[in-house]
Amino acid sequence: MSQEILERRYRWLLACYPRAYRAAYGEEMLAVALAAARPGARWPDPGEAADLIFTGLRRRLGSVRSASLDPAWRDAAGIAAVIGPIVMAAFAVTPNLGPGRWPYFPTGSFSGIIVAALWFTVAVAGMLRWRRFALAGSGVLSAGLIYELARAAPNEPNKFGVFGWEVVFAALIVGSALLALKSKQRLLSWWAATATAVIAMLLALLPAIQNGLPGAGSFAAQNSYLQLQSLLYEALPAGLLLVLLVIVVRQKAGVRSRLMIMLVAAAATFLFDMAAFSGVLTIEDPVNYPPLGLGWWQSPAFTVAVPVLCFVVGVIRLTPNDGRPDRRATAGPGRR
Amino acid sequence: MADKALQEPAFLVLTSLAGEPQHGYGLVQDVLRVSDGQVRLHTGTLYAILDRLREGGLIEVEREEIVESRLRRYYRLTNAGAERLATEAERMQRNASAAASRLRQLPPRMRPGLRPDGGMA
Repeated sequence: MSQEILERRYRWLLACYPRAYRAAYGEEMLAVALAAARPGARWPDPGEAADLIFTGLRRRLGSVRSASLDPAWRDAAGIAAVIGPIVMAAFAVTPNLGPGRWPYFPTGSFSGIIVAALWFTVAVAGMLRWRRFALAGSGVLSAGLIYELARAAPNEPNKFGVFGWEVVFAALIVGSALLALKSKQRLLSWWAATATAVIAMLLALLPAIQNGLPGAGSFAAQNSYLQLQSLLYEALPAGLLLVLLVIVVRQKAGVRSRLMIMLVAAAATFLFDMAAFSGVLTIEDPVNYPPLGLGWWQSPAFTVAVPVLCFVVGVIRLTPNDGRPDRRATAGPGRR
Repeated sequence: MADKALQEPAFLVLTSLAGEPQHGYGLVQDVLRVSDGQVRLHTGTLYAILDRLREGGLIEVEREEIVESRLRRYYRLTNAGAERLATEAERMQRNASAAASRLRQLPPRMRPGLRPDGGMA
């Protein structure tokens, strides 16, 4: 009985490996792990378990070196290294969109516009395949963002909880720029990048346009403006989503799935942070500060854990023959 | 693969297979024996090594057996694997000789025990 339980638990651990790898070695590995287990053990040996998880995930991810050589990851990163800075530019320029104003610099200054322009420069560098420039630029801007948050931390301890997603986005962009260093091709068309940028900027500027409009005017004019505004608030995010979907769908299968992993990780982080911030995810009890309370969900650990979890789950779901030939699939015993 | 030095676990796996074809658990035990109990291979690490060695053509599957309803796959050294192991052993021997030679040049108070043949005591 204990052997069956142990076997089941080892099978769970073997799930860390890609399916094709398990097909080639899984039963054999299970036999070795069970043979090496203590008699009567019901739980895998911790060292053995850690080794299986580590080597399994490394097999899925590829080592850092092989990941950087994996063309599908490189190409997906090349796209993310352009879209990411565009999104960051939109959030830098908007005075009202998102949970705060001018996150980098004091309210009312034009520094947000400068930061947005710098993010746009990084995006253009990504489009022009100036990879080192894009990496350096995104690194400097990310460092600036972290510096600003760290500087504000003593006075506003919850600031990271609110803007933590931006740090995660920045980290994703820097990681993408790094991974895309050796990417030779550009899979994002200029029209797609431009459409993304235009819609993102319109969305970012919408509140500013609204605030800038004179309060006076005829009732009909105000009414039609409000109708247009509510339409734009729905149409612009939908348009942005549509453009992103088109960009994703137009890629090859391998690039598409990797791009989806990155986008889902980024979107989940943003939605999670916004939901926690707005109280959707909370069952607040300020007296007892319970689990699932506001502070609990806004913990920076969650902001970091959500994208990591999404990324790991996404990579585990990746089939190894997704978009590239899989040597394991043909590696029968005694093939060589 | 031929250009890079073998890491110790891979070297020990090849050494073990130089004796006779082995299955996975047999390799774990033999490597432990060969290394005087210093290297205990975990399953994930072992199969990462076997996969790499197979890919490099240094080992191959000899046969498969079902023992107590469990798959047992035996691996053996290929000719390329034997050559590679010999090259690696020579390289290590040269390095060890160089180290022993340098150690002999140390002042006597700093010198660890050396055997007359140049090896470490």
